[in-house]
Amino acid sequence: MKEYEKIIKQRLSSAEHAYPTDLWSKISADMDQQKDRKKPIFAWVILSSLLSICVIGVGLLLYTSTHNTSNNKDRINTVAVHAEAPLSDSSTGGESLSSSLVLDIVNSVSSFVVSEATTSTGKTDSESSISNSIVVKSSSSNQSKNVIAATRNQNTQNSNSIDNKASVNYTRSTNASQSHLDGIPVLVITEDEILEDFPMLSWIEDKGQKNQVEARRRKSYRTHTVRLPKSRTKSDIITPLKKDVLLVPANKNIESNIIELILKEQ
Amino acid sequence: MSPLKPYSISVLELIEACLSDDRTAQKELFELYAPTMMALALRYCRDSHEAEDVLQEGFVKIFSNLYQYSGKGNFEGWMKKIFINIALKNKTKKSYTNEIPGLDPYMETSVMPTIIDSLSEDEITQVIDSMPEGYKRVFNLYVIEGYSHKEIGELLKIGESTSRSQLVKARKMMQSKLLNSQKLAV
Repeated sequence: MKEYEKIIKQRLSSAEHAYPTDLWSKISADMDQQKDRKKPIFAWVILSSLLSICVIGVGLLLYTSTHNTSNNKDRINTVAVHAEAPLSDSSTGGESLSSSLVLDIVNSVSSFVVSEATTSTGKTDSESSISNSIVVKSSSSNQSKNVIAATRNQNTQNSNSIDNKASVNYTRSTNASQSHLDGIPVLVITEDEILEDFPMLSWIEDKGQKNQVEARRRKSYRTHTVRLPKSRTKSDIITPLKKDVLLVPANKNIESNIIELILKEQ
Repeated sequence: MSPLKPYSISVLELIEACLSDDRTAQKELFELYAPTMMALALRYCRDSHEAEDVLQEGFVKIFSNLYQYSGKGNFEGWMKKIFINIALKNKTKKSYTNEIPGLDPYMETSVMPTIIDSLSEDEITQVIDSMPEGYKRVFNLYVIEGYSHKEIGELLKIGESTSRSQLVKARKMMQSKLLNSQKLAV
């Protein structure tokens, strides 16, 4: 740096200059303005953080409730009906029971779930496998809600070893796999009890009982209507339904019914 | 020029009070440094109006960013950097394209200290101010603020070599102008 530059630096770096007297009021006003501008930003930051916390909370709640619901559904679905009855009304051992039934249930309130139904009659090795699938179609406002197929894999054998009285085993399992269901100790409930507790199976022959069940059905299930396919005879439908398949509406009532049923038995 | 008042508390105490949003303390700090910063702003600005704008913007920025000052370095130096940045930013917003420097022949520098001594600070500032914008900036930053060419290059977003060449030209012009002013005075 040159000599004169040093002098310039020395003189100018310590130099002072007059400033307008009203400058402070301008600066003060500017700072106030800046504060006012900052306030809504802070408010928004706080609001948005609160909102995000709320959203996360609600999301978690929804997730938890959905998770629980799906667990409940799984639980309902795994309530299997084991009928030890050999379907003596319509079938004999070795005879094919394969029938696909479609029931349209016009339901304005709830949908139906047909639980996995497994009929196992075989106390000995199976000779033939009978598959019986029943499709229940539920519709509400022209929309099909739930269609659940109940598939029955039946190993029919040795029908003589089975009591004439139909008995149904209810098995609750957290695992939907049927192989896990087999062999689990189950509750035994009589057919009458099923008919009482599941008045959907109201197409029983006895008129008095039918009326009774129908009345109960109407009371409990109000708008459920069952339309049977014309091509099928009553016995074709009733027999497997009556003994092998549990129709479980997908609402709490039926779930609680099942639980009640089990508790009652216990 | 507003006279400096005797301050009862130290600058650091004043800064602490400013941080707690004490408006009186802020005013005190402003009054303490405004004259120096005004002089600085005038060196980088075209006129006093522009310098006032820089001063206003600078102090608002300083008060709102005071928490960034660690308290370790020179507070005045920290403030000066902010003011220089604002002044240079404001300069880049405006164009000075029509300024073409007319260089006078290089003169002997031995007489320069005598000439400078005879001039007041305002006159020296005026001489610097009369230079083209680029020269003025580089001269101010290098000679008065003590920035290196690298720092100047980063600050003005120009190359180091450009900064050097600008300084050489600024020096020539400065000497020429000082000599002219001396001649006029005589």
